[in-house]
Amino acid sequence: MTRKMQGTLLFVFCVILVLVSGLCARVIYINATDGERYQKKVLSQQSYGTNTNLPYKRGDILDRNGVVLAQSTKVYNVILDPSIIATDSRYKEPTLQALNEVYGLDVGELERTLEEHAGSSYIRLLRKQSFESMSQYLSLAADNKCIKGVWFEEEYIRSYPFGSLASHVLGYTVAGDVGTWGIEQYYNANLIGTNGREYGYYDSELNLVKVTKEPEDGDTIVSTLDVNVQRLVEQKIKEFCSTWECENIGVIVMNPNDGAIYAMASNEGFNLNAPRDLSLYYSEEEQAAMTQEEQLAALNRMWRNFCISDTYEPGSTFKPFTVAAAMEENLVQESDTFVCNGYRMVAGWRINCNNRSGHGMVTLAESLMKSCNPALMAIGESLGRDAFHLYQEHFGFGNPTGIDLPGESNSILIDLPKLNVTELATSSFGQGFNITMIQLASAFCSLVNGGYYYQPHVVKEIRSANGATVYENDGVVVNMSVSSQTSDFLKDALYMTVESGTAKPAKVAGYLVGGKTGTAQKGVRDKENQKYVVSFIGSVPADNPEVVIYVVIDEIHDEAKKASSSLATSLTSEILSEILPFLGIYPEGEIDYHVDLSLLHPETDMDTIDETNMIDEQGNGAGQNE
Amino acid sequence: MTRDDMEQGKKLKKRRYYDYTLLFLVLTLTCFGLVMIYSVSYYNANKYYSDPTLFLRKQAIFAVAGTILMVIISKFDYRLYISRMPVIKIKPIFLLYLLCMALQLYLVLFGESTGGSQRWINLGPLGKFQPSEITKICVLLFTAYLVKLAPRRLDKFRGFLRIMLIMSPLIVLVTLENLSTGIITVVIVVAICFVASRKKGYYIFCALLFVAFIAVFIILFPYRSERIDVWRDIENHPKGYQILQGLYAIASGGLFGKGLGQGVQKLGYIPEAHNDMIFSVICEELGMVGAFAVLFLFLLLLWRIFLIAINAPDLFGSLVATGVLAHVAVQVLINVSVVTNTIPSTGIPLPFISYGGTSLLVLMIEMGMVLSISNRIEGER
Repeated sequence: MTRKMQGTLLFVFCVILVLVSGLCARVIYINATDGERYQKKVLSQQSYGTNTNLPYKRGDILDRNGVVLAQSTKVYNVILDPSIIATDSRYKEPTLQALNEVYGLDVGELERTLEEHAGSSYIRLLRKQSFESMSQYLSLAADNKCIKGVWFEEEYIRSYPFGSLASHVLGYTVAGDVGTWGIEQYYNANLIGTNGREYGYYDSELNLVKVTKEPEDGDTIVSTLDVNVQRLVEQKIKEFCSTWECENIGVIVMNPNDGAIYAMASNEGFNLNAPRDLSLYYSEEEQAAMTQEEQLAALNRMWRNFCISDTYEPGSTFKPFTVAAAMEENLVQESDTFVCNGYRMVAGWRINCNNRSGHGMVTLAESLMKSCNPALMAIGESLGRDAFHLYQEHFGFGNPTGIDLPGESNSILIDLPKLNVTELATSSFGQGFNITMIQLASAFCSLVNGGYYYQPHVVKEIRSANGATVYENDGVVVNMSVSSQTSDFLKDALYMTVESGTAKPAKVAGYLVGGKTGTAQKGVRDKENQKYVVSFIGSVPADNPEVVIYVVIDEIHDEAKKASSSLATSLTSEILSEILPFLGIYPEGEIDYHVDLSLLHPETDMDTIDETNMIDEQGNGAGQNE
Repeated sequence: MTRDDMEQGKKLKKRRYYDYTLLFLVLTLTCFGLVMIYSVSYYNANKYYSDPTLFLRKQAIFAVAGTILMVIISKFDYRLYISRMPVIKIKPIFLLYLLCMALQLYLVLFGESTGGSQRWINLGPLGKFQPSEITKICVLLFTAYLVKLAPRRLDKFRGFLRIMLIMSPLIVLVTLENLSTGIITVVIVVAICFVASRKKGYYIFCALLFVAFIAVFIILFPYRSERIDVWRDIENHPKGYQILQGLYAIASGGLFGKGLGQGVQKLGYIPEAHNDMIFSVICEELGMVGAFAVLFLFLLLLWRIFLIAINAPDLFGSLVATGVLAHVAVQVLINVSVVTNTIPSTGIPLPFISYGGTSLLVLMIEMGMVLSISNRIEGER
């Protein structure tokens, strides 16, 4: 190489040196002029790491024995990331194949999705897929390195393993984990948790700091329900409905000694896993023909909890309360007798007894056993309207019981100023005012348990996600309703009512059952098309009740049987015989219950008692009762 | 023994020279490149391939293979390329020329067109092969050979034109496929000729011609001229995203940077940050100090090549070293210029540092050739 060439090359090197220096200057220039602005841009476009939501798990709902009634299960959304698949041509085919194999997705359609959303990173292909399907896909992906670009997002769904079981009590959830109806609504605040978060931020040194805030799961609710009892009750209701048509049936089974509800059911349940599904009651054509309002009305009817939301006239099941009130006021004694001529004249109205020919002379106990209206009217009269009204409220009628469920109705009593002699007379045997099932059942519990009025409840315990008990309800006494003497008398009298009175069909072999029937006129008094509510409330064992059952059948669509409380009593008997063993109450070998009541006519054959009500001559006056 | 004797003895003991400094510089740059590739790519490699070291490992394999290849080549006499082979009596340089023509023709004729131009030949499991990188070597060697055959001819413009004409088939084919590689080959040819010729006057004319050529190309291919628009309005042009993100990275680095591995712009903001945009991440993570250190390393490397060029035992060796010097220099300059938005964007990797197997291998081969030239320098100069 000549000197000249060497010089030229040195010149070239110098040019390079100058250019490199120029570029260095350029870098300094960029830093100096745009440095701060660009630094801010860098920070502003940061997503601060992965800012992902970690969903909490909604608390489970268990029955009293720990059986899961409602649970939240983790499900997986299938997310497609086309930008990853686009990174290598080998990825597409096996990935789409795997999706097709596991989820049955159409490959052609997936290809179209990939093309349409080529730049995207988040396409939600499927929602709420099972863990099994996900692990199947993941095992495919583990075998084949070319299966890429699909990931799974966690989510929880609410599921009810028993479907429609206890639907009115449990309630359901709607989108966004909002409890709607039932325990889900009433205890929503406990059931929900707090979402966790995974996020990052930049500290003063501009280092990315990652923080994971774990989600806090919701509390577990232990309800007082018993799955077996609830299931059997619902099954019996269904069987009944297949024989008899009626508007409504409500059944409450509860523990009189703490107010815990074992079962609460009506004939119109709904599928908790599909709460808006009307197909249980309407065909597809019928549903299609519905207007939006009709559909809403149908849904509301289906969701309505008859046991706490509907009010009706209780009829004779109220009679023990009239008797109890009079005994508390010391206005009647066990030994008192009443004369029944088949009717009683009240303020010029003739109000009939269920036995038109009259019961003759009846004792206080017999007035319940035979369900004698004139005797009760006499007792009511002796109480007077002030005391009667006071006791009505004292027994919890006229006010919500405060059961831990949404949608409880208030009942409609006759206001004190309007409680005139006629109203007082009919009220004394349970006609003329409205109550809810739960009111009567709770009040009845206090009559047979020694006088302790427990607030009815469906939740006995709340446990936090880590298992600690945060709330416990072993029964809250809100009131002392009657003395133990009154309670003892009523237990005896009610036992006799089942043993040899109007409620004989309620007998369950091997058990001591006490209770009272009711056949109440409903709505407008109408000789031809009178509608009835028949019912039975009872307790087992009669001497020391552990279970109280209340069965109400609203409007039996059968002319012959519409006013026959025997349907309610026999339904009760069927239910009791099945559920009692599940509640740990077993038939006794030898029934030895000595009733110490002075009965005037023990030989009377109660079987012949006509249970149907007759309408008094004056038409739509106060109704009569059995 | 007298001092003269000692000096004589020393002189007698003729040592072959080997530029270990150059070797050291090459290895330093390559290893630094591996570190940066890992720093830049681990996030995306983990995200998309569940394997943080994927790019690092691939590049490391090429780095090791390249180093071995470099050392082997450096032990062979570079003059073998232009001497006839023993059996078939053809100079290897001609074979290389034919091979490159064939490969480039294959690409132009049969290459699948993806995104406007095809640059790869898929070798299946061996990965993708970029023939234009080999063509760079070919152009370099062949020009040096042509000049060496008749250096006096270059004193006239016709002589330069003749060389350009001989090289033009390859250059045109490369340019058709990839403008930036075309520019690089032209620069190599011109640089060799410029250094070799004794008259520089016509190069001014030539430079003007070159500018005109670029201008015509830009007008003919609107796809390229869009890049000019991007360059002029980098902050608002929708296609300026990649460069703009690179600028954000450079500007947010400051004097000492955020620290190795601490950059955030590589986390999905700079697309393909481990390729041509790696210099911006160096600026972000190591700051201006780090970036200047890298450029200084390149200058040292060029200086060593320069020394070898002026000390080479023959003209061919000098010219080959000159070509290599031009090649490395032009890639560094263009790459850094693009990243700093000094010139319109064109895809050229940063030598030794950017991710890319063929590019690294070819550079290693060239370094091997330069080392081989250095190995022929006798004495201690």
